[in-house]
Amino acid sequence: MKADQTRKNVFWGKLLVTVVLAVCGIICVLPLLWMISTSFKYEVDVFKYPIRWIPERWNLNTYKTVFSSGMFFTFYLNTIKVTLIAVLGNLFFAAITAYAFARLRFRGRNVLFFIYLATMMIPNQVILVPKYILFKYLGILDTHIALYLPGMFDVFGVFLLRQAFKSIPFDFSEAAVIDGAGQFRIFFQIILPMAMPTFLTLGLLSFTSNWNDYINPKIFLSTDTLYTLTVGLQTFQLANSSNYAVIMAGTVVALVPILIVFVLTQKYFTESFVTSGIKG
Amino acid sequence: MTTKKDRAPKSGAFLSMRRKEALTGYLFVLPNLAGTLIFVVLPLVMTMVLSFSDWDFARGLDGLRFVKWEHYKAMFSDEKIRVALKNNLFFSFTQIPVTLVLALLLSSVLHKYVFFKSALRTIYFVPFITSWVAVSLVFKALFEPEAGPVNNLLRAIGFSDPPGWFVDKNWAMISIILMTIWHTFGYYIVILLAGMQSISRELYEAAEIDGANTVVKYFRITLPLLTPSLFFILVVSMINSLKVFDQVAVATQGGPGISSYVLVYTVYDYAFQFFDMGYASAIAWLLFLVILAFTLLQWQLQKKWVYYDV
Repeated sequence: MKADQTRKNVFWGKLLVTVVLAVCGIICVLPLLWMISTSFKYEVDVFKYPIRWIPERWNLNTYKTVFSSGMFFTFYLNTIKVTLIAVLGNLFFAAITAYAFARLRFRGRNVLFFIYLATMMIPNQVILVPKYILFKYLGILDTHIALYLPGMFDVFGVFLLRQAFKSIPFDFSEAAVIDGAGQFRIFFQIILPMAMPTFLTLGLLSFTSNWNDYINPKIFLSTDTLYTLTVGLQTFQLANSSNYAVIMAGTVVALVPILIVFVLTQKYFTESFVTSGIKG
Repeated sequence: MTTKKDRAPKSGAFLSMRRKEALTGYLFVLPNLAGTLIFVVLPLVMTMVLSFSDWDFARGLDGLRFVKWEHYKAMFSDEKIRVALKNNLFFSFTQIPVTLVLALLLSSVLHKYVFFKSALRTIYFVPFITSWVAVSLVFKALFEPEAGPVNNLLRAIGFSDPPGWFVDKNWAMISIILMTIWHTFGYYIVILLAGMQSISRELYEAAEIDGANTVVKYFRITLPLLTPSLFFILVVSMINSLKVFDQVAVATQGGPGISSYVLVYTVYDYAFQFFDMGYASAIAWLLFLVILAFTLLQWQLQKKWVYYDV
């Protein structure tokens, strides 16, 4: 009888806490809800008090303005291109490097890995100035190469994958060697499939950081047709600085793709950030 | 079918197999090592060289002139550097503790006392995946001084003279901090929850047998065993907070005046608005040293408060 009462109390207590935290959660996404709601309003209604979360009069012209110049399509394509190449390159180079450091025997391997790992301590913000000069001399300043090429060589990915590769029992690859398989085949047919979860983790982290990257395009790009969504959105805002409804429409358009990726992979997405370290 | 003879290769064949493996190894690490050397190590060395020189960009390498410690000396009397350092420290020492306490409270409750835990965790995490440009634009609109929703609300509840937030020199940095707390706390929650989940149930069960109540269990088991996660968050967020740039560049551009300058924005300002590459490089080194100092300090202090065994 008493235990029953306690269980009931626990249930109601839990429900109460859930409601409180759900309200906190709603408050937390409130700025984003306001953004969406405002993007469908007429400018005169934007700052009306109290806030109308569902617009009285719907205005779709804001989105027409966003897409009218066609620039946002360019920003989309640029961002997709840069992100895709950077992520694939990052995965590929991180994978082969991590494979060598984890499973191949060669002289100086551990020393090399230690020195390599130490470069993780060098923040991008510290080396931006010489990178600008370097890119100018290499002739890749104001091109997309300046964004995705350096992004491919990422120490963190090597570190993450090396851990995953090391945890795969060596018996598997030794058996394959005896069967006459080369390193490439071992890598692609045995190691890669077994480390798939870590791969996806790294892919999502790399995707997010490249997609949301602002400082690199801001500094290395000057032609607006090359802009990615982040710098493009800022330019768009400067051109429409007095029109909040239109700016919010632009912001919604810029955020939709990553929100879709997040919703589709949400559980996995959050887990990825647990394994992340330096990123973010 | 493999016979015994096939399985034991002659020593010559064995050697060549080892050599092939080593060769593959070098081949596989080469692209990444070369890339890191060109795009990370070389620029770091260049930052060092540049910080001791003046560079007339238009004249190419001929325009390079060594000025010894001049840039470093100049930093001491530079108002922008002074403000930036102060703002960076203010940012780190308010944003990190506030976010951490908020996240610790929420995740402690989330961990045990709710239904739909993972759904709630997902909602809290949403702000973290949005880009700083988008976030800054939304917050600038929300905190618009004259008619923005936040100030409207403040006036309605009796604050007749609410602050100007991003466009007020006394509030610009605080506004950026508030925005950063909103953006980041979900990430902390995810890390802390993972830390709490990894604590063995047996410890709690043993404590219950000894008659420990919820409060005792939390302070004697949960918190101590969470210290590695807390340490990780502190190290990462200290580094990130010293590198803060995006929010500032979009929301305030260092303003009003120079009131929200931070170190990275100062580097950007000198390098890409005034094209003073030498001086900007010296500031970049200052930034690097500050980051290194705080990271090393935290590694040293961890022995005093982080539990690794149990």
